[in-house]
Amino acid sequence: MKTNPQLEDLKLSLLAQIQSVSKEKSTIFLEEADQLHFPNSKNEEWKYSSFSVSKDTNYTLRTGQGKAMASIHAEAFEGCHLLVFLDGAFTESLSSTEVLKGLTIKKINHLETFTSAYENNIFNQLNGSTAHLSGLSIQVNEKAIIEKPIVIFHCNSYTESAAWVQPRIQVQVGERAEVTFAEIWQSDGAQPVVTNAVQEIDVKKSAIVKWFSLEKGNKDSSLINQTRVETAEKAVFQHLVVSLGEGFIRNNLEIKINSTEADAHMYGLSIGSAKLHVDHHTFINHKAVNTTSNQLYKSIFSGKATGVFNGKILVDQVAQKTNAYQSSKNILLSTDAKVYAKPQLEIFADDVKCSHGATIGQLDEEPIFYLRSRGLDEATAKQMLVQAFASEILMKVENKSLHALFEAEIMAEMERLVSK
Amino acid sequence: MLKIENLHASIGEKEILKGINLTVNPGEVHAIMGPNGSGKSTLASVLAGREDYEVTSGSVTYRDMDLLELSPEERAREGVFLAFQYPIEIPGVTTINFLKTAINEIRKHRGEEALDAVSFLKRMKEKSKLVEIDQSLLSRSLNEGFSGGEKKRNEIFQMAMLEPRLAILDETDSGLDIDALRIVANGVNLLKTPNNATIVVTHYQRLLDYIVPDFVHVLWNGKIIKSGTKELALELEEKGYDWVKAEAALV
Repeated sequence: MKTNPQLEDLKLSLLAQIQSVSKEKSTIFLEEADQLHFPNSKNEEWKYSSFSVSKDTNYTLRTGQGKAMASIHAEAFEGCHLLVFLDGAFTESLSSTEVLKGLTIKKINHLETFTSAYENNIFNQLNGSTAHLSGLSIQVNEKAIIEKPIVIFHCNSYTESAAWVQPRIQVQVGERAEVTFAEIWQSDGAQPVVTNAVQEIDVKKSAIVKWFSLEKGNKDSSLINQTRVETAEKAVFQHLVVSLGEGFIRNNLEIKINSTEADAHMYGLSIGSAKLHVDHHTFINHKAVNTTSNQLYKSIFSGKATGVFNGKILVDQVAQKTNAYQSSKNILLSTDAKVYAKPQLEIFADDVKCSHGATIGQLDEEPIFYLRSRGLDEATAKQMLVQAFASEILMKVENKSLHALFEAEIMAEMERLVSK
Repeated sequence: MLKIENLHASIGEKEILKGINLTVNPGEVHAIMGPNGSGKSTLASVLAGREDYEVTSGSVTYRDMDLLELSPEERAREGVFLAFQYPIEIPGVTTINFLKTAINEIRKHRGEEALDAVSFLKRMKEKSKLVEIDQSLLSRSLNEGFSGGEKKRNEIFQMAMLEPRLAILDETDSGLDIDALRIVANGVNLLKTPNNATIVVTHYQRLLDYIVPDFVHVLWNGKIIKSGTKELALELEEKGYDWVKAEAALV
């Protein structure tokens, strides 16, 4: 494969940096990574999302040891447990020190992935190579009901050069346990940052897991998430991601529904008024009878914002009585904003209910006129309508603390959107 | 209050209103009747400021203002209200939500203080009784899952809340059963004051059994071809429109 020389240089630089900090624990990953390349637009999975980095910039690999930042406002996460990843590594000193009952939290010492990657890619191998330096493993005990959400706050403090960070989180949720996680991504924009993150989530029988993610980028930030989930019998997994601001965001979400009567719900809301690029690649594999998956991804874009939704559903031959729904709804408020939506259904069972749909359009004139005819000005009417559009996703964030946090960020972004 | 002179309006290349003349004074109820396609709804839409229509000539003066120069929201704030023929559904926007914003926009325009939450709820309670609308509907998404009658009652409820000077009811009777019709008409009658005026656009005479008009106008082919009192409506009910058309053709 022909690769961009800049990205090839970046790869060599990263490999060298990883080798110098980690030695033998990285060997397997580094050997694999060496054989791979950063994707370009010729790669079908990256057709509409070209990964690139800032020109003439050296990226320094960071695996923690950052300066504690003054900008962590713990009060924003009131009512939550707080775990902090500083410069890509779990940092205990900044996290909630109280003992979380029902939960074991420890650094990853030796990486053993318990989920299998569908795609052997360079991001995955690079991340794996530093997991023992920066990763975090969370074990939720059987039957543990964790009431407060666990916020995982990712922030960067490195200002000397551009940074490359690789957080990794492994979560195992025991049988009949209930837990909510929320990853908050923030970069202050002082220097370009590439975040190459991997989440592995193993949901055991009858467990209920909600996973939220609030992605706030800036023009020099790139965030690549690879979230891999496996669910057991009667497990319920909900994933909800809100993407705002600017920059490049790629979310690969892979869910294997391994056993019967398990449900997976996936929601996304992207709002961008400038150069935001959000790519959701979802892959749901139904591997057992009587399982359900439901996807709803919405976006509201103006300026030059771009969205990609590529949703693949694979129903194995054994997975009879599968229900799989997928929907992508998009509002474009400017002529330069773009959305590419592509459903991919591969169904090998014969007794299934599957549906998919995508809509892309402007705000309807009729509701705008209706609201104006009642005395609202055009901007207020539009704002009310986009808020209504977004509220379908926001209302899925039921926890009060998280709801307030997500709502505030969404409203702030919405104001930027409508004021343009 | 309202003076329409020689109003012509088109949609695309097609001229629909071909010289309307109409004067409405405070305290009056005017009924505009006519067969389908005569231009009744176009007239209502032009008065409310719908941008699909282009006014090609003529003028509309409303309380000494050039109405046609005002945006839809400015008209609303000046007291013009349109009850929609087909009230739309807006998922995620509740009636309470946008009405609160609307009332306060109107009050701001008139130099009045914003209505506080308690006064708003009090007014809502009072007016929802008037049109016999279930209050729980008002905190649901606008018109989503409402019956035809509920949608129309919601329009009249909004009218009651906004207290317009000039209300235009665009075929509010269409699709209503007799009970709903009575409730809607009752609401309109209770809201009548010596200071406000109502234009009732309708296809059938039956609404006029409940809302008694001071004047009845027959609109046909984009023009008012006959005006009279409420007896004209009864005559139309009995004899249809053909005789009026024939009469107009002779002139």
